[in-house]
Amino acid sequence: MSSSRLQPPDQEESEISIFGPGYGEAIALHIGQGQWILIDSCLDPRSGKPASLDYLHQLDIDVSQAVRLIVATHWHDDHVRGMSTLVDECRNANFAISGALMSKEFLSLINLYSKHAVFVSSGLNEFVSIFQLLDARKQHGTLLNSPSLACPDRVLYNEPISLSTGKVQVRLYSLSPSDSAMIRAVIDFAQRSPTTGEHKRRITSPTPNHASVVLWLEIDGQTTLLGADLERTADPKAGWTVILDDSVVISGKAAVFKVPHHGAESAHEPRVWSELLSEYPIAILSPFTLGDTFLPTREDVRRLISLTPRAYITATPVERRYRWTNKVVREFVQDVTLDMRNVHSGWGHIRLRRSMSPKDASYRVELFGDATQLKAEMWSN
Amino acid sequence: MDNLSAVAEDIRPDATVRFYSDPGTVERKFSTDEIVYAPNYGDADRTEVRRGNGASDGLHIDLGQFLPLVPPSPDGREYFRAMQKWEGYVIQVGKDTFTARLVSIVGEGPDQESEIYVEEVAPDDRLLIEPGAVFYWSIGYLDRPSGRLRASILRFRRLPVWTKRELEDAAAKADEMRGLLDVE
Repeated sequence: MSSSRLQPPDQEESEISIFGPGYGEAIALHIGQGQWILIDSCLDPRSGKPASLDYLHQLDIDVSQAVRLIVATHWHDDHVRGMSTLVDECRNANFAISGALMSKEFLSLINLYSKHAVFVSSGLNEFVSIFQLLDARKQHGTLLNSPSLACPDRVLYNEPISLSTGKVQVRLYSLSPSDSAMIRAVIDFAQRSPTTGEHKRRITSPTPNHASVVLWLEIDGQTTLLGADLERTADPKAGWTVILDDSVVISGKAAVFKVPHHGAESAHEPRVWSELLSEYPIAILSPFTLGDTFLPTREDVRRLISLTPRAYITATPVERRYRWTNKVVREFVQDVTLDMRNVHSGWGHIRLRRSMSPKDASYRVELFGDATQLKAEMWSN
Repeated sequence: MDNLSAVAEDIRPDATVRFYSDPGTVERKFSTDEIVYAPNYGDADRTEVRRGNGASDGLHIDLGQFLPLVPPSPDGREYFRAMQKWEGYVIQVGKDTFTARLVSIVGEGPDQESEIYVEEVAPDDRLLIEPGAVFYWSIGYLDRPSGRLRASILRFRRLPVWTKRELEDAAAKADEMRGLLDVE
């Protein structure tokens, strides 16, 4: 990894960083003057630490002061691992989540599945730890604000930044989930709640996820669209359609797009590209593997690179196998399994930086680890 | 702390037992008088661990937790030593195989995704193979007076049922958490 990765951004430089190990995603935004916003969390498989926090530590940033906001876009394991550590260390950051995740149905669910630990690494435990941390702060009178509940057109962050050329406003809006999506999510949580006498088992994540929090970042007229895992839906009052039809806070077109749901076709809405994004935006994404699902597929990659030549991914979803050092283990693995592969297909970091002055400065793209530009020939699936 | 789930790495007089709790992980060694073995549930490789003399620093072990381990023989002359052990959960179920996520809890290696032959699961456990089901897979040596055997043991957890009280407690806790929305 290049040593220049450890160079923090200038005070008047904005940054969009996305980290992805092959199963997981996290984003760090530098909004100027040493202020940061963190979105979702995943673990760096090499260190086992939350990727975005580890990065800020390496940049020698005091996260307790520098991080102003943490956003959890949804509750899937691949987006929340290590998030309680973020909340713990970033003591002065506000916390924002989908309103669906403060519903009694979801909170009951996480209390059930964390208290009666069914699996050591369940992401649900993260939420219980987060709420315990926030509750402890509330008891001690140190909780700055209640969690912000993301919904269409809500301002999650709105502060000025002083540049040498004057003050500029930084605004982060949530564009989702819609009322309809939230109601569906709460019904889904209720349906997932176990009943008396039912055997315990690990809870599985719902797909598709229509209650994901899409974000719109504005810094002095420069905009970024962060698509979380939001997918298309036939319901005109949910998914991307309701954002496109009803949002009143979107102005201009975004130059950077975090592609939703790891580039899956189910999350591709052509109107997003024509109505919300500038021509040939920078598209960034992370891969995803679970069971027989590998994202993005070869077709997804072809579609993305037909829309923009500037598409980048944190790692290619290639299968990687671990070489067991113990001969007995190696032999049993061969006998007992038809296939065995690493969950993580690599680890990478895409970093976009641009000067905030002049306001129309272009982004500098830097790729670290396994991050690479999207090319169709790289895909085997 | 209460309602801890316990995973014994191997059961010997100096067994290390790791407790996964909320929050964090507690790991400590137990002497044999602190752990009671009750390997009388029909299957030779399943046992129950519970607190023996109560001298365990306030730790409470859920009596309903069954551990997929080979218990020691009554005379202590036979034991299973795990070189590698994973905790896994089922993602998808096929005809002859099932796909699972594995997290190493003893031994080496990053998280794995594996397609495992159903025939490697004990017949009694096969009905338990369904999405979300949790199992343990251990690879190691079974040491006996007659010699050492290589062994792979894959056992599904027989988790207890949800009780009315657990569901009510979770709902009450959820109400408390919603109080976070009322910060002045």
